[in-house]
Amino acid sequence: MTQVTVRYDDAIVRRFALATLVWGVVGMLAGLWLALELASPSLNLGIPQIQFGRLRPLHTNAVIFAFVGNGMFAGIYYSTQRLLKARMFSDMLSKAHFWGWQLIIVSAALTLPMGVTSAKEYAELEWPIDIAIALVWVVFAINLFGTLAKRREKHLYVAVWFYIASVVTVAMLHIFNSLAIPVSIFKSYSVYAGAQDALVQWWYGHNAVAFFLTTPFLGLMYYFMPKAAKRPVYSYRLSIIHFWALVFLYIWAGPHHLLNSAMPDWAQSMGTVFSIMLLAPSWGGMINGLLTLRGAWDKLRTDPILKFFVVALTFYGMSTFEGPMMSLKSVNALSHFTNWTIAHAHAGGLGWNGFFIFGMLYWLMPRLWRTQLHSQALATAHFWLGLLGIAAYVLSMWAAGISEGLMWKEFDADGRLVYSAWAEMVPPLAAMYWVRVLGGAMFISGLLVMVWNLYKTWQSRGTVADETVEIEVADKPAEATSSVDWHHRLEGRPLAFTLGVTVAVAAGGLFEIIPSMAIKSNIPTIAAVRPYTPLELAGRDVYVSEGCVNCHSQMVRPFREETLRYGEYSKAGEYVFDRPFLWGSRRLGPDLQRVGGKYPDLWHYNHMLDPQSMSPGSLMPSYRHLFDEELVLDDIEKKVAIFHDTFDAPYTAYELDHTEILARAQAGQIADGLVQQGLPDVRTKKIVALIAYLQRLGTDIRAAAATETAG
Amino acid sequence: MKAEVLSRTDLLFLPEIALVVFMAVFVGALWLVLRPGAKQAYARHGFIPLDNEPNDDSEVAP
Repeated sequence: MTQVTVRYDDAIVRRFALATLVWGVVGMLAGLWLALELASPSLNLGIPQIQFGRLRPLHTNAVIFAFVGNGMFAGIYYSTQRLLKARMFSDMLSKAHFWGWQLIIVSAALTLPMGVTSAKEYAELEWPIDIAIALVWVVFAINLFGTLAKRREKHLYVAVWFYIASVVTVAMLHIFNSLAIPVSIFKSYSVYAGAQDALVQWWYGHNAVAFFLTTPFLGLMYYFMPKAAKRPVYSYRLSIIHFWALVFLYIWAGPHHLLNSAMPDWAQSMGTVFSIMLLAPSWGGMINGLLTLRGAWDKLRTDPILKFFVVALTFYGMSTFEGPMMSLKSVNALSHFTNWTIAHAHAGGLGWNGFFIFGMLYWLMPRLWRTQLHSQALATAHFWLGLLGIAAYVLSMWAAGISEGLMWKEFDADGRLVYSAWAEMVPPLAAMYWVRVLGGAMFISGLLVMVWNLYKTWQSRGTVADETVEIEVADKPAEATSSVDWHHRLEGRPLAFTLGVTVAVAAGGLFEIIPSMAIKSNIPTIAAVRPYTPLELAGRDVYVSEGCVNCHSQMVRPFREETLRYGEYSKAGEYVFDRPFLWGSRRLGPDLQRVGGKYPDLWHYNHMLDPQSMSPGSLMPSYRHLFDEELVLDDIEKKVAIFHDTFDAPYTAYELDHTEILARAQAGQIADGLVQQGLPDVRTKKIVALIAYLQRLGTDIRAAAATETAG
Repeated sequence: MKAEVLSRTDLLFLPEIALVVFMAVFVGALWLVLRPGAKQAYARHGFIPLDNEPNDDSEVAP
């Protein structure tokens, strides 16, 4: 045996931990402001950059990728070095990872409020930032695998498996979902269209939850829970089953976000089946974590760190029970598009990720600063504030979601919708929106208490330096042959292990997505469905940019209440020119798939200018700025050409040669109609393009029906 | 040509293959951890995070 001195890179852990706190405050304040905007729409303040549609992706990106992301990296950098008994592979790569990630976050914070978005949920950032994310992720991967290569601990502890799975899968998800054809530096079109885009997006979206918010945190749980409880994990054997089952199953469950939609039925059923199966490994992980406290439950009374960890695992268990239940078609018929989904997301986000990060930082920061936590009492106060905040948040949104779902579906004795106007269903939710504000404010107050507590802890810091340890290593590393079986050997070989994980996740992705892309019968062609006119395309880009998809779906489900309220249910063939798809995941306002031709242009003009004048009680902010901002058509020719040349959209040679002229002519037609009704001329403003797009929505299928009737 | 052939093929056997592969791996993993002697072989790995370090006051439970 030889004594080796190892100096861990703790500076990088401190950096990521501090970034976690900063972005946590920023991201959650944005969330609180969004909650206030729904409780009191006047708080949109008439500022386009902070209106709900633009601020919502900033909030989700900030809390997921900035707060949770930095927290995850802090934990991974700390634990990986200690589990592998090696300093990170390269300090330079660690720094490049840290600063690259912060640069991406700042880019997101600047571009999203400006309306630069791809409209794909949790993947809104435009292509230059997407490329930066891929590059920074590669830096992280090289650093992690480089550390694995120089490790002094032969066996890869289970936490490291989860890190490997996360690194590999997030790269795969991000790259495939972000594939797009750029138009300009701030605009691109997805290479997937309609139903295929929906499937790829929710393959990504669901697995972003899985491999960004879950698997890395399970890895962290397997490290920090034993550290905090001072006990080994309850069952190492269970962790093996937990890992492989989770990695295999998670990747398939994405279509449960698209139940009762125009997705092929086989894909929906597969999403449901795999979601139900997921319950087993998820709860296996939760039980393994909780039972790590066996014989030490008494510590829960006094140790705030364990309190945070135990509640985090409990919320993980609750969310992973609720998720499969919401993946049942009948439950989903009630829950989907409502605030129930928001409750589910926040039980997981605040309860599992938030509380785990808080517990981890309370454990980590005093150690990194060579001191004791300033106040256990304040940490306990943070715990209770946070827990009560989550309770208020989740309970109010459950109540709001179920109320919405039931109101949407309520018929009177004559078979008519009880709530025929959308605005009638908004006031009953107001009280619940205020309770949500209260819950969110409590959760953030808890976070601020933590920031203060850690600041005071930092003030009492000792000599802050990288931790140095003496390690005994065998002169000749123990070979895997000494292990008892193939899995032991696999656990000692990172490359083979990574290959196994890659096969597991890639199988799910490829075998699910290839059939949906390739089989023609999945998306039956509708001859009457035509590409958007140049002006409608420009209007669609305005719709995307304003984040309308954050409040309005474009997916009429095949339910009686939906066909009565909106019109004919949606067909997959209607969306073949939709890049990106805009089915949405939530209805704060009504579905818009059949809004085309439902109201005159004048109604849309007034509604966009002053929503409450057309729909009293509406939560929608005014889009006055679209009446002032010029409609820029400089790149419309290029956009139409991309649709024609790359995506095979059947534009005629005349349309391709006269793109801007056609757009201006259609704008003039709409504007002339409005001028005749005494309104100002808006032919050169963005609003005219948006009206053109809204009036087109869902109308092709009517043309198809008319043709059939005539025939 | 390739796309045309693919579009006319019933590729839905692919998810079924994946399901069989998953079940095989899952059953294999179950056998691996439940067979006699596995408990002792794996138990020691659970102690890896608890290796004492200089500034770490954590102690392994008795």
